[in-house]
Amino acid sequence: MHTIRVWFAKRHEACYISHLDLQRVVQRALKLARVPVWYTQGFNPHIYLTFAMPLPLGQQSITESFDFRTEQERLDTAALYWELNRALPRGIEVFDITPAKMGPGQIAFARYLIRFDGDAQQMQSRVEEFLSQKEILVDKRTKRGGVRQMDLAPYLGRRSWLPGEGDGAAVLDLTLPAGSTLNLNPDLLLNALEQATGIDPLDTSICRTQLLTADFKEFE
Amino acid sequence: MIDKKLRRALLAVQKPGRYTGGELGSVYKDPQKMDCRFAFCFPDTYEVGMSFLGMKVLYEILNARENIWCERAFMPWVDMVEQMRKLEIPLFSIESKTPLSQFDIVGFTLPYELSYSNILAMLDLAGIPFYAKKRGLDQPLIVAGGPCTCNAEPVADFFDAIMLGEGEEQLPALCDAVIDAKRRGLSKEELLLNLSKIKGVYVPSLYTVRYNPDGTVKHVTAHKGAPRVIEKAILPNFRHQPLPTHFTVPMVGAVHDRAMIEVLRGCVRGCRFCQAGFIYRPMRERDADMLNCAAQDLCRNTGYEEVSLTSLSTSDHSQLEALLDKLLVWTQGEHVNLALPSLRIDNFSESLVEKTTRVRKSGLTFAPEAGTQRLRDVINKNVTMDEVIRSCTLAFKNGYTAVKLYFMMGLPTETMEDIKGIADTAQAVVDLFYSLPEKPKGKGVTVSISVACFVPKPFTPFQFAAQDTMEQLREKQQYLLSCVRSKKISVSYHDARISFLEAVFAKGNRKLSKVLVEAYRNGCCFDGWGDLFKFDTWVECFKKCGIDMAFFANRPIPFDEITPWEHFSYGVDKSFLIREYERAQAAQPTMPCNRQCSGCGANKLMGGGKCVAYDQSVVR
Ligand code: SF4
Repeated sequence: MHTIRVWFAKRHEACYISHLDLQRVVQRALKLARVPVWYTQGFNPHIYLTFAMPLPLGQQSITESFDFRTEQERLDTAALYWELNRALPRGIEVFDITPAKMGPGQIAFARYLIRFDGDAQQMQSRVEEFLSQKEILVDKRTKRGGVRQMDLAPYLGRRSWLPGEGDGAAVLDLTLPAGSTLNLNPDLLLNALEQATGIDPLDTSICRTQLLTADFKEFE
Repeated sequence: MIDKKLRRALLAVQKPGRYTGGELGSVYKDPQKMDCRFAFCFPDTYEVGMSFLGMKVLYEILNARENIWCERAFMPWVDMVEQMRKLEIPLFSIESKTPLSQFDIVGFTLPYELSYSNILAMLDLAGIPFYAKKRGLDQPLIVAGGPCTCNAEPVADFFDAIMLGEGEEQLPALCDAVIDAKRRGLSKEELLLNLSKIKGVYVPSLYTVRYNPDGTVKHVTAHKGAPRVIEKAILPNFRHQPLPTHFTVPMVGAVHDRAMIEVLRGCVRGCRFCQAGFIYRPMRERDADMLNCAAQDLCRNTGYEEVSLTSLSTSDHSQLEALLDKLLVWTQGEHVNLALPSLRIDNFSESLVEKTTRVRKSGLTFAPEAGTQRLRDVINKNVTMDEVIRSCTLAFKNGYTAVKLYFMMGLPTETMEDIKGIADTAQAVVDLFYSLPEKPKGKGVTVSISVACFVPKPFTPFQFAAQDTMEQLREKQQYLLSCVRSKKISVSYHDARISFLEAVFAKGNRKLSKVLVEAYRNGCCFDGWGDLFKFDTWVECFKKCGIDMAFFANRPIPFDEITPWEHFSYGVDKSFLIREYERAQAAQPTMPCNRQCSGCGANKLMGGGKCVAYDQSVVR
């Protein structure tokens, strides 16, 4: 049995596909692309399918992945690439198919590009001022449905600004914890930013660009 | 294509995927290269609309044309309506997010009467004036099709053209007429005249309706050469009419999210309450090989895990068992389930049970519709108690433990005896289960009865009948509850108020359009959704407009009265409906078309002579 990891981007309209719906969409796509997938055994067999890390609704990503299993020794990944792309909705694009080397449990960080529309210089300094505060308190929802106050400031160390492209936006490259113990959704930061500075989250866009392990190796 | 305003709205609503399109099978084209842009509108939610086969059929047919782009729009859910109002986002198509007002044609399907208020809501959200006479060429042409167009009079004032009958050839013809008008720079009047020449196209503005002092129709006059009677469009060769094989696969769960194969159209049965059974006459089947290929193509193109053989009465297909054998050759190997939604008790054979249970074992549904044999004869539902028992025995032996029975109350000639019969029928099924030595081990039986309120519909023999008043219906519901003794039986019934409003609009005339506008202005919308239904508002609006609801719903129509739908023809003669109504009063059943032709007149639609419904089928 082999576990195969399919890498894809989720953009445009597809940002609004919920995780639950995406699971069904991918199940169908695998079936449609006639991928030789392994079905779970038992009373109600279904395709074995796991996703590395669900993406919050509305965000884009160029580093999503899902895993399926197969009993086949060899897979024609080039053909699969074409077939899957034909079977997936607009905005979801498969770009690579690899053996799964790591378990999704090894993911500890995620890297994002956050684009702030507006004058690049001015935006950068406004946001940077906010990010360099000693303390940034936000309310974070806990898994049990409660709310807990936490300080984001200690987690913002890995950040840099991309050189301006002159297209009216400042672009922040930010790495945040994204593991099983702590997972920080960048929306949390943007909401706090809005409260402090009035910058509208809709003048920003978030794109997940990389998943990283605890020692900052790329998730494979 | 998703701008900032729309992003804001999408992030504030539940299930934003309802509004974003892009699904597998959705079609995108270059707007610059189009001669005609068509917005196909469904006046209910995305989930409901995406389950509707007619939309899939026409979407594929229109988009097969190089110069036409058909996109979809649905009624946004209440949270989205609120956002769109707040942010001033006009209603848009979900593919390109183009505002509806920028289309050449905006076409609504009319699936059920209670969606009429949603049509107004959608026009309003799109910023398009309600009344056809207030719209010029700067606005899209607003048209309608679908089941309810057989009496579209209550909404006639809102539409430029209404399509009666089958749309597969008629709708492209309508688009061509619009393209031609654009090219030649015709006026709206000239365009409408041209449309009225297309088979089955009704241009309401070319007809005037006069009324008698008592409110009934005096006469309907056709102007400028429009046909006096509009006869529905019908496909010349349904047997080999291609099926859609590239469904748009919804991502936000649709109600019926599966591959659907329309095995036959129409119905041979002639149940006297059933509008579909009359307006789609004569029954025509599709070729079994063609169905099998289409099913396989569709499953391979969509990735669906279930294919359903849909029609009004799938088990009446003369080649059904052969078709099932063909399907079973590949479905299991390709992980596809087979579903047969409309099985009938009377020909639920052993091998049929075996074939479907090889794939899936869930609940069984039967629709005896009435509780006594006498009343079943009245409504011409040719199901006997023996057949119910025989089919249930078969089902129980095959491991089924849940049975759902559908009934109606308020049927013509009904007495309390018939209501008690509903409970007795359910009890007999429970007793049967426990009497069987082969019943599934260690399991109990559940029998649920679902009771709808009878709504008299145009073009059925019961169009002449009055609906029971809401009080009468409620009394019958209470009596039924008192008749049920077993805990194994659960009862559910419809809200009599909803059925009452449905009857008013089903048999309504053009005067109702102003009530619709009034009700919409007072917040009525999503009337089919129980908890959003504002019955009291409706009653007030009718009062305010000086229109008596009971006149439409609770008044029997004399045979010689001119009905609001008298100027439409579905092939079935009025004299036949009268004959059937009289047979109903005498509790005389009528044979199904495949056993004996009763001369309803629908054969004339296909050029006369021996009817296809009689010609093709097998005598069981
Ligand atoms: S003409 Fe005869 S066979 Fe044909 S639909 Fe009418 S009753 Fe049935």
